[in-house]
Amino acid sequence: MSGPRVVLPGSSLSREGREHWISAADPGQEITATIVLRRRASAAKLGEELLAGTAKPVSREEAGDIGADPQELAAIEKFAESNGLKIAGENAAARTLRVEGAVQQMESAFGVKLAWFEDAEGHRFLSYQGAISIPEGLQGVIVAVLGLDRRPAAQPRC
Amino acid sequence: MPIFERRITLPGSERTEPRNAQPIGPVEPEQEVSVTVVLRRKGAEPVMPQPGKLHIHLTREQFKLLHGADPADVAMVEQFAKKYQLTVKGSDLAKRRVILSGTASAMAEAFSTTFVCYHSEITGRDFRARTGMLSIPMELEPFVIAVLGLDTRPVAKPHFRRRSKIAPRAAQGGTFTPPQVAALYNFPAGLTGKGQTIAIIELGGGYNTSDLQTYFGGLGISQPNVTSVSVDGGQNSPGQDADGEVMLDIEVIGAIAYEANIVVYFAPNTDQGFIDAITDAVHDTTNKPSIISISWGAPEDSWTGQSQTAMNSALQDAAALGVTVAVACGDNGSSDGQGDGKLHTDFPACSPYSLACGGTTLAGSGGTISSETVWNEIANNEGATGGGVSTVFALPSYQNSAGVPTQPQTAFAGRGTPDVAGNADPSTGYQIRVDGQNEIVGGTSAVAPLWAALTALLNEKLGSPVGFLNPKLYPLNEAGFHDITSGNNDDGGLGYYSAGPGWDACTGLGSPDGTALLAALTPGTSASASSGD
Repeated sequence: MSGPRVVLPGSSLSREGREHWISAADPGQEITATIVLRRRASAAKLGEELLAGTAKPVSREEAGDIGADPQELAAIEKFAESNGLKIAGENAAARTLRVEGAVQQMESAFGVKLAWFEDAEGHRFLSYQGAISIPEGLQGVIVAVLGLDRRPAAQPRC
Repeated sequence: MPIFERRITLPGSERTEPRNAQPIGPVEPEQEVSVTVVLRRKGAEPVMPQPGKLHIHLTREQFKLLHGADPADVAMVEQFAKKYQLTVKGSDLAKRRVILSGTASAMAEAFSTTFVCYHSEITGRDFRARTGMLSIPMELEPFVIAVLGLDTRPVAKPHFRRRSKIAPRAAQGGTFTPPQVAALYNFPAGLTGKGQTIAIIELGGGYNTSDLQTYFGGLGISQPNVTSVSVDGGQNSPGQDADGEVMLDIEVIGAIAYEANIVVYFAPNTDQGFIDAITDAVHDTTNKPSIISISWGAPEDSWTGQSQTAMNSALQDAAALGVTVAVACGDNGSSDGQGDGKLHTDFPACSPYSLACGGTTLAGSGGTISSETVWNEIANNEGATGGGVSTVFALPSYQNSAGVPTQPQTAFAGRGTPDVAGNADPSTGYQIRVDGQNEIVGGTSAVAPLWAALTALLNEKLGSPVGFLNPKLYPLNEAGFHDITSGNNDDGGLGYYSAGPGWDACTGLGSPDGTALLAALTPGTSASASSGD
């Protein structure tokens, strides 16, 4: 799936001198990424209904009804496979697709350069500079691509 | 000319042997090592704003001149680097640091240390470590505060709220076991969480069964059923700082809802790990948790937009599937520890689909609360409840009538946190057991599992999960809550936020009266219509 690409909104990373580049990633290193899809069109209003307390209860068995659109999931599978990535798991109800592949394949699939960075506390982690891009045809369908930026995300609150 | 011959140890640089790791050999001498040298301030400490006093904020440039590093000190570090064949990669006066890089052997000589390569049993990765003290030339001693990055062992960076052991202050009301807190909050009697499953999300640390046996045995409670689930390779890995979090969460829940199944989802501390763990718990068709407890977070603006969107939509799934998600609001007051003169909320607590849990200081005994105020021990360096108004998430409709102010610095009409509160002050904290030790721990980290446990009791009694609680709680008009009206979570002298009647950005609707809350949520009752203080 080559052709025009678009930036994935909210994927731009700015380091502002807090972290510094250590070395390029090993192109052969295998990593896993989680692709998150949007909700199917029929459930697009779910969020507002929940906040207003008017949403209909959904059981885990029915979660597919508020999950991903099967056609959109298939389009992402095709995109992943065309970039040599392996589908390591998918869950239409959870709107997630887990893909595995070498750093090099991830870089070409998502238009980034992966590298090791270190922050002021000495944590070292794999990350990228700039922003993730995806094929134009998947614009809006892909909500997030997680796992290409592996900095510590959170602290315990105790 | 400095000669850099006499050396002195760098205070506070001591490192012990890494835990849970095996030495596997020397570090390759030619390996590139990069370090950050932190310098002292040139001038005085910046004046911290005081509540009620006019404070003039400095521009970044003024700050650099007044409170940054001395250019002469940076020049001295540059000479030192040259002598030891290190390269200066960059320096920043305002941030008071110089970044040096060089080979491992040059670094070892420059700071008088030796490196050993270790294999971590926890992460499965190799890392570089050193032990003992660093030394630096006398010429650098007056102004070098720290040298960071020589050692790359995995670091959990908890801002633990263990009660200070050095200077115990006059206790307001002593500390509590979780059942004592449940009694003060009038949790409904005769309920055990039977038939309920509570998920706990952990991004590090672990539990060991012998500590749990000792702890629950000491409380005279049969040990709850605790199992773990691995997410993205995360494992139950006791022996880390984050054990305090894991044990607090399990012990608070297990001491109150002791017949509930507790399932701990261990994931790596990355946004992927965090979001995958929540998604896995929400959609877990084997364990089927109806409640998720999350005591991890980070300031709202430290997240990328895409991970915030993904996390929020996973929490939306939880709400849709009737899973209650209790989330700690942070322990660093209205700044959330950012120290940039701005107000910050903590994420994922500030997602509109989270039950955001704030903290109080609680005194009382038996079933009687003698006082309860907003947790703010900033003056004693023991934290304060997070809480405030999001700059990302819009005001949800369930908060339309709650009186949430617009964000004071941006005027954004955002989601207000917390929704609810509970005891969190370490000085009135929870007696728990961690890594073979009895400890007193607090933090909003205790409040999320406290509400998770209460929710399990409600679900047990009501016969079906209460699910996404927020739209149900706000119309109750304070029925089921102790409204906390005294105190503030001001950090940094910005003057925000204060508690008051009804919802506020320190304690939300308040701390629970569990029995009254059960009554108010029982279908067919009209507890909500007229009650409230």
